[in-house]
Amino acid sequence: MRIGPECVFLIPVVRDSDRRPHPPILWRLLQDTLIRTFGAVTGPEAVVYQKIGTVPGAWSPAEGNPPVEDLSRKYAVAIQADRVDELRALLRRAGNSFDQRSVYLSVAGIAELIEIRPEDGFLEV
Amino acid sequence: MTKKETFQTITGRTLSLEGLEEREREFLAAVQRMYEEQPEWSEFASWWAEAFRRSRLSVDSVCYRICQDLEARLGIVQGKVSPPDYRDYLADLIEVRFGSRYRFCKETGTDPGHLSRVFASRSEFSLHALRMILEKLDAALVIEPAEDLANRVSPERAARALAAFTR
Repeated sequence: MRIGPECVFLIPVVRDSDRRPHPPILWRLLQDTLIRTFGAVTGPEAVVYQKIGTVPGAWSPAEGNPPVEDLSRKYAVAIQADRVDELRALLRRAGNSFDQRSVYLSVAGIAELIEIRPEDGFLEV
Repeated sequence: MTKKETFQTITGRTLSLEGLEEREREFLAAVQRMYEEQPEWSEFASWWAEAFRRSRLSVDSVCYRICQDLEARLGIVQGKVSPPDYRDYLADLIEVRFGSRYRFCKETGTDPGHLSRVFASRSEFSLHALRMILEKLDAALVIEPAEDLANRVSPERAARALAAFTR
């Protein structure tokens, strides 16, 4: 059965602003939101959590400064092509909740950095 | 000897294990076996999410909430998740008393946007606002020694509780 492109995204395990780990509630909110949005566990439409792993990554805090090593959680989600923008919007909210400046997303092997803006909102409660 | 029929989360919330279906008990037994190996935080997260999906259990099952709790404990002890603070306690209380955070906001007039910012550690409630919320939740603010908190969130404690139930 064909579902759609595999989307892979990374959520760093520390906040950008103070490099502190996130509280348990945020990981719960992310998981609950993914399941609510894409029916990861119960629905037939999406396949979420094919893979979650911790991977090293890096970002540069400002031009000229050395990159900062980050440990991220990698999520892989298979969704229908017409729902990729919905995932981008979810990741923008997650970016604010997880205090990130950008979020890495790869759609069918094509990578992009989603810029996070305050007006994107937060993961919904 | 009767089996222990409850599970206490890191925030002290008691989850009843009474009346679980056989497949839920089997799922928890498998989780307990995996957990005793003290897996890495994300390794466990990946494992239980896949096992849960295959089990076809509902996210309304207490098993889902228990696994999230077990995962958090590993993250905390492995330094990848911060220990629970008042936000985690609030989230649990809201869930217990109102069923959903959406319903809580609607019925108490709390701004959901502000609540989201608080949960994201991007904003704080004033002490006055927190007192008002606690009143609506029929809860009280308590200061406890860090040692007590560390004991409550330990993976070993959760593993013992699960073992008492599944064996």
